[in-house]
This record gives sequence, C-alpha cells and structure tokens, in this order.
Amino acid sequence: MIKRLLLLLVAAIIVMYFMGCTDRYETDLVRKSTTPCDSTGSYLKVQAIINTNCSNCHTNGVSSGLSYKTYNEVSGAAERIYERCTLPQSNSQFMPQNGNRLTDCELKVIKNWIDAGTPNN
Amino acid sequence: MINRYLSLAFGCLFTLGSAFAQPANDLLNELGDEPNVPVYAGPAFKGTRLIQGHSVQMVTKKHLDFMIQHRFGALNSGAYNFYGLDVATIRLGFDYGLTDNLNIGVGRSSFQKTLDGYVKWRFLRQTKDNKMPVSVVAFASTTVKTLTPSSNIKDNYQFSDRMVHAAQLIIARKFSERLSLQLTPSVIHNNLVADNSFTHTQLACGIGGRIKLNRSISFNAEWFPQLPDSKNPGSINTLSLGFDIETGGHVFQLHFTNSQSMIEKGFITQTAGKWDKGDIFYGFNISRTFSFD
Repeated sequence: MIKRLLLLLVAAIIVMYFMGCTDRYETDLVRKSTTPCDSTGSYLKVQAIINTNCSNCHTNGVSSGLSYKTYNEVSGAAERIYERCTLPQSNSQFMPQNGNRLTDCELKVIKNWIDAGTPNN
Repeated sequence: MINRYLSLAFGCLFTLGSAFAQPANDLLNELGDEPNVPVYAGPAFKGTRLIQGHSVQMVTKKHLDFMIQHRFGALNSGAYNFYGLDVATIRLGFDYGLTDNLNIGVGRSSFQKTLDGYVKWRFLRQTKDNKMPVSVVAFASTTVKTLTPSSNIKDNYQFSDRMVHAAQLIIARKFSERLSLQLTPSVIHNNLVADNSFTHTQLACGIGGRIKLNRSISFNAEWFPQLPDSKNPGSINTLSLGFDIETGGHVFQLHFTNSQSMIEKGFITQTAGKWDKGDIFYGFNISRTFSFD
C-alpha cells in the first residue's frame, strides 16, 4: 500500500513538474525605459555602477585581494573590469561572479569612460 | 521535434515503470524465501554521484547522506589566483532514502545562488544471474535561481522564470568487479533564456564509467555530449575525470572537470570551459552517511 502511494507521489511530482515548464525570453521582460540611456562616461557614474554591482566583494578586497574603492584602483583596472563584464555569463571569468550582467547602458557608460581616458570627473 | 523526444522519453519511462516496478517489488516480495528470489549485483559505483552527475547508486532506506561538493577556479587563471584555488563554488546537499529504491534530496549551490530538489527512483536493479542485466533509475530535479534579477527585467520577472527542470534516465551495468558503465539520457528545460537565439529545451546523453584500481580507489570518467539540434550558443560539452576514494563511512571524490556547476542544468548545458584552453576546475565531493534506523 505504502509503495503504491509512493509511486503515485512520484508520478504526481513528475506531472506537476512538467506542468511547471514555461518558455520565456529575457528580451521580452526588459522594461521599456521612459528615460533614454545617458551613456556619457564619467567616474562618478562608473563609481555608482561599481558600488551597486562590485562592492560586495571588491570594496574591502575580500576577493582575490582586489579592491575598487578609490579612483586609482578603478581606473587602473578599468579595461579588465569591462572585459570581464562583457564575457558570456556562463564563462567562469564572468563578472559580477554569480551576479547579473550589467545593463547595456551601464556597459556603455564604462566603455565611454575608458575611451575618454578614464578622467576623474 | 523536441516535444516528440520529450513525449517519447517519458512515454518510455512510464511504460517501463509500470511494467517492471510491480514484479520487481511486490510480487517478488510475496515469493518470500523461495529459491528464485533475486540476488542483486553489488554496487556499480562507490557514490551516488559518478562525478558531476548522479549514478545508479541509491542512499539506503532511512539513511541521510550529507554531501559537500566543491569546485575551485580555473587552472589557467594563473599564479596570481594560485591556479584557481583563490576562487571557489560550493554545493551543500542532503540526500535521504525514503526506501532503498526511492530517494529525495535538496541542495544549495553558490553558482547563481541556486536551490535544487530532486526525486530519484530505481525501478530496475541488476541481478547477479543477469536476468536483469542493468540497473535503471528515473531522476527528476528542479532548480530555483535565487539571484536577484537585473533591474531592467525585475518588473516582469516571475517565480517560474527562476526555474530549470531536468529529467534523466540513468542506465548502468556492472560488467565485472572492476568495470561499470553508465548511460544517462537527459532532458533539461530552461523556463527563461536570454533571447531567441537560445532554445529552452536541451537534450544530452551522458556516457560514463569507472575502473576499480584497488579495493578502495577507482578511476571515473564522465562525458555529457549534447544533441547538436538543441545545443545553445557558447555551450561546451562537459568532460570530467576523477578518482573515488572510500574510507569507512566516507567517499572522497577528487576530479578535474571543465564545468564549475554541480547541478544538472549547469554542468550539462551551461559549461563554457574548454579543456584544451586550460579551463579546468579541480574539485571534490565529500559525503558522510547518517543512519536513522
């Protein structure tokens, strides 16, 4: 009797499990922004992005001894930061590690800041 | 096409289940001590995991297996990162035997902050007289990514978008005391993918085995080739090589693999590392079994 109940339970779980399948694309979920992306690069904006996305591990240098607290630290690592943030998310070197990909607008801000010579503004 | 594969796979699963589970369990139990009670073949593998994936081994009834799985960073990350040892992903899991043939388990991985749960049911078991030449296990798992979604998709994000399902049929045979081989046809369903260049459902067939080197050590290998039709861009097939070392109530599994994830959706479909580029992760699984008998 118990065995039959267990079998029924397994069958029920399998059925529920496949009913739980959906097919959605992230591109369909993107919120239509009311304000267009201001992608001009400045340290102030880059610092805000770093604080939101990287400071958890990189403010006090907890991860691999890398700290992004000061202008010198961020500008010195700028190209490497951009490179790691633009890798495919499945790449083990992708940053933020175990985090979400930066938005296109955030990546543009960092890129434009690097192209402008990482000014301290 | 994929739907056809799916219905075929699960049609087979249910048919096999209903056809064989009954005789294997109820009827044979009723036979009592008669001479044709099946004598099962010894364990095909040392642990409930071959390397990354599940093996046909089960946690026995009323036993709890606590497993710590750990993968370091890539060997090619250089001396600065101490060849990967500075970086780590980890999964902690509990596997429990409801019966000798039915296990449930839960776990939590640091890889994308993922919770997972599974049901594993062995409905055929290899016998010594070869009347049943293989052990077959049906496996189903669901994972929930608890990572906060990006701010730009947060408003439309639903709970189901966090989920990925995996179903496997694990078929293994112990050929001799030294050699066991395993096949693992697998279906993975991602509820949410990046864009329409990705497919939601992936099919793969794991191939693996072990060669016992002595009483307590075995060499294991496992490869999960994905069917080309369903493979997502950038996804690499996972190849893992390792050793199982058995000491008392513990099984230590030490291995090298090109995948950092330790759950089916990760190591079957989201592997980006390439062996020839040195994206190799050193890792280990340690398990300890507790009895509630």
